[in-house]
Amino acid sequence: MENNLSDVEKGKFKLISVESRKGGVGKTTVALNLAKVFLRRNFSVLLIDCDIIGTSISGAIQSDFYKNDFTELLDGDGNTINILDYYQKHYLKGDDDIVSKLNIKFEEKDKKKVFVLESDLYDSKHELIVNPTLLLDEIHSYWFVKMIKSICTSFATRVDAKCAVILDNSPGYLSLNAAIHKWMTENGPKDSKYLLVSSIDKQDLESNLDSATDIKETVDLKNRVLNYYYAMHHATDDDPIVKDEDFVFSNRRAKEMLYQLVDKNTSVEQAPESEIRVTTYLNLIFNKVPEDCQEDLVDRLEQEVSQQKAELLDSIAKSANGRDNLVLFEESVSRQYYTQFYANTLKSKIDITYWKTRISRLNSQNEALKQSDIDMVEKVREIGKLYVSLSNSLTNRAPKSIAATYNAEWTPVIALDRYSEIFSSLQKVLRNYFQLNQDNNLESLYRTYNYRLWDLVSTNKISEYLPLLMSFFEYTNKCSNFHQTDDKGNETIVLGPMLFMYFVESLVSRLPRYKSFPALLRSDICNETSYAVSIEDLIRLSQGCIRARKGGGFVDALNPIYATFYKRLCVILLKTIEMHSDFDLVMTWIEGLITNPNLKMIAKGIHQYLSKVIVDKKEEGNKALLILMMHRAGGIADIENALRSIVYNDWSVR
Amino acid sequence: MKFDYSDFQTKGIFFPRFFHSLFSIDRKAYSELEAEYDDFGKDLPFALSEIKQRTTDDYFSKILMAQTEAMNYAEYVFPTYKFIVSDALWDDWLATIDPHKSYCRDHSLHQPLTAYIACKLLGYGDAVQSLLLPNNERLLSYCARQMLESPQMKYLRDYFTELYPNYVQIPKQLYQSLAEDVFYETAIISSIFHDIGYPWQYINRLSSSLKIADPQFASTIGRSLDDIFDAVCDRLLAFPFYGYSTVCKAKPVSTWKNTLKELLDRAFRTTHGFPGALGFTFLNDVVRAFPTDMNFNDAIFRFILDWGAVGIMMHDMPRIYKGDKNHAGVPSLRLSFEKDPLSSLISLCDILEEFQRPQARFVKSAGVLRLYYPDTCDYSELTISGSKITITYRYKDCNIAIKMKPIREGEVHDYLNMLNGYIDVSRLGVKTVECIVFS
Repeated sequence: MENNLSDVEKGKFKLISVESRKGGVGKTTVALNLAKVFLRRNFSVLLIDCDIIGTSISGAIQSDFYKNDFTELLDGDGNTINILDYYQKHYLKGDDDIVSKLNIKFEEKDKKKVFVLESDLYDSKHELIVNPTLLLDEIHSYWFVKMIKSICTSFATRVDAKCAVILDNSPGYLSLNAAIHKWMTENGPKDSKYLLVSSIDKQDLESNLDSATDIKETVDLKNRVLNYYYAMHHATDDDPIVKDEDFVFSNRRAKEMLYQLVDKNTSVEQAPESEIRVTTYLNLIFNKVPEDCQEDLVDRLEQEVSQQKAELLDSIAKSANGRDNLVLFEESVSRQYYTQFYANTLKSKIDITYWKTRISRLNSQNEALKQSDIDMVEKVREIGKLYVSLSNSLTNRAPKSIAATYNAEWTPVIALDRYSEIFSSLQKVLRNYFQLNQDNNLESLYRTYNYRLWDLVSTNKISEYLPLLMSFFEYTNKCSNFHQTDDKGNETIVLGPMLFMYFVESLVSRLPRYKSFPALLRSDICNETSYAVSIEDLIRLSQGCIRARKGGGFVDALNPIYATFYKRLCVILLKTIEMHSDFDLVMTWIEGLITNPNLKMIAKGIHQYLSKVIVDKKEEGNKALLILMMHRAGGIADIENALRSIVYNDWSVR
Repeated sequence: MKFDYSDFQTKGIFFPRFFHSLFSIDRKAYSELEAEYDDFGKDLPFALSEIKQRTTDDYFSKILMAQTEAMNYAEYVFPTYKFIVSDALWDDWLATIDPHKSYCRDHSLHQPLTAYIACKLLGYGDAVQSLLLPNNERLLSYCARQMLESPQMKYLRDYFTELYPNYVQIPKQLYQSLAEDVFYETAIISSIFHDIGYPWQYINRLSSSLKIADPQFASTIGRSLDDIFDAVCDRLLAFPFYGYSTVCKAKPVSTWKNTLKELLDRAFRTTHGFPGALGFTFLNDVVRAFPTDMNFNDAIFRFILDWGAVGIMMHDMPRIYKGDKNHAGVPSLRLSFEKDPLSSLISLCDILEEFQRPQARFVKSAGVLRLYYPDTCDYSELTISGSKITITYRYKDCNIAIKMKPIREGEVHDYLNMLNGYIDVSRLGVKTVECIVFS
């Protein structure tokens, strides 16, 4: 018999869920640093990667920032455990005792490190391990969380110390997120904490505030259900219970809670404690906040969010005092599944469509693979259209809040639609490139390079496009110079590095303040009219920059493929650089990958150039040109300080 | 109370999900089925694309919308639905495109719309909002009260008691609202899958596309009467055939066993309700592992599934109730809200769901046969005035209204006439039933 998720042994460990609706806001960074904070307090810490489509933690913990404090959990054979692999091969077959099965050992020498449990949809051969609908399917999400729960309980039992388990979640709000929320809410605020990470992007903020409102209602509901249940048990004929007039019991969630209490035959000897305050559940971190944006931020918040959220905004404003780049406030976040009801439905069905098609193609290898990749592009487009048509029709009939959800950027519906175009263009470039290399098998390319449609949904995965960038360099560069002379003595331009440099230059030096880098980023992210700069504008501007430099017509005339690639490159790099916390890691990683000394030098040059441009500009205080802060030095420290404050002061963890 | 498509679009269906249904699912059994489905099952997008090719955009979008709702709900309460939904859709378009058939198959849309009617009649789960009956009681409260008090529903209470002997632990103050919630959840499950028996009739195709290894399941779809008997004789599904009484096996076997077998045989051969109920039951059984000693939640959900199957079965039993030239009628199968409120409600909703049902029309022009799916009925309405129930159908076209009038009136008469209609509504305070068809 399956047990309720909330049956976890209470008090055995702290459970912290790091989450956000949007990719690329710094969830993994926050999770890693939070783990360090707990480690410093002599906690045994387990960090579980629940972002199965997103950033790989194992990559991050190899960096200098983290490598001394983290270690991956290994199985009895010394192999890194991929939790999804176990889920598919063993847990779904009925095995319950995961820790014994995997023979996980918590080595003595590593007890002073954070244990990391990795998850990856793909194995080392780039083969899909598990259908990603796991994230969307309610049953699988339930089982997956149940498995995590058993791991946590086992971990807490074995390490014999104060324990903390940190979950690094997927962006968005999928079934897996909902299952985790359910577990946490039922677990109670003493043992479970939500740590929300948000950028100041309008829609990101909106969705987080909505979430905060939702969890507030959920916690409130829980209090009332508990009181109602208690009153019901102590009602007599002379003193019947009085129904809470404001409390309509047709509320699905309330009834579910109530019947859970009945199911567990919950003890009702004592009246429930005073109301659980939602603020005891969690905190929200604003990350990647521009240095000069504090006051502006509060203004924007006050103007843009609705009246109902005034209380939360108050908290933001008050908490902001005295804290530098990170605006903290004490509100919990959860979004119960009803508001995502339609979105989940659609997404799951469409994703099934996509993955089934993909998997069946992989299964029937040669036949399908010989076909042009056009059908893949068409499939993506078709899915995009279907999404839009479905979401449009659903929007018409959905309550307002759901309609609003559809318009939010983070919704995969919109993301998929938006990125499908990018994806198809990228394909063209790739196809062209690989045809030149006698390899027209695009599917094979996807598998080799792990170019997944899913990656595009999360900006965190943009870093995986950098191998493409390097391939492009390899294709266009055979020497270390930016100019090359052919056999006839004609000088030609080496495109890759040039494009890259022009691109960076165009970002940092040519644009007026109001159209500066972050504004451009946000224009892509939230499409807000006040920013009024589209990616196309950026391309045009940067192309103009190139034209100015090279006498015009450079990109378009030379080769339309380069033009397309350049356009996409801009988008990719914009996002890469936006994720400044990952920037150093990514570039270091690239340098490590490259064996060709010439290319290595180019990569190093790019790295240095970017560092110089970005860091120098920052150090010079030229914020009008570059207002984003890098986490590279002070940024990380800021996060650590903020997290320490949350853990020690707000959560009273000693 | 008026029912039409735009209302459905606006308000949708309130899917309850009050009880945890996932606890009892055996993940090994489920994942094996899932793997089989991945290998052998029909591709859902393909089935959808087939329908899309053969219907208009407008009609297809409605199907898609309705099935999205159904699949989403099924994910929680009836997860194995996803393994057969392609076949169900497939069956729809196969039946729809045949120019020789005088009807068109539209269950992928009809079922969710029936659920919408049930949902609205039951006040979207809120008793206060549900239909006001002639006896001045609300429909949902009334049905729940019958579950708890009606002498004719002792069989149901006995069944639940058997599943959950610890029922005394449930606070008494909760009884009424619990009964309402159980009834509502069961009604939605039952109505949204009530015609699942149609594809089930094409069992060979289904079994070849879904090679379920379970021998019990295989034997059931193999139509062995003995197997069917063994499978259902102790389940709630058989109780209507026992005259809605707790099974009394003390009776001579020759009396009840042969009667039951004969009824099962007829039901299996001549209705889609019984095969549907069997399919529903077994597709749940193959993945569920209810423990012997069930807790509250498991017991409730098992109860809901078993009772839901009864609703699926009984909505299509009027012909067996009335009998035909070869078989006598079976009066004990007559429904009433005091005896089987669920089946009564599903049957009522089924006849009310006339709007949006398409009538395929083949038009040959320039040598090309084209197919259209005009829906002919604007809305249906159920009104209660004093002791009179009026069921109204409004058609878009006068000629169609004239053509449909005797059909609708006949159906309402068959189901609701006070003398011997399939559903006995007299105890609700109803004295007259009227059917109005107009354009």
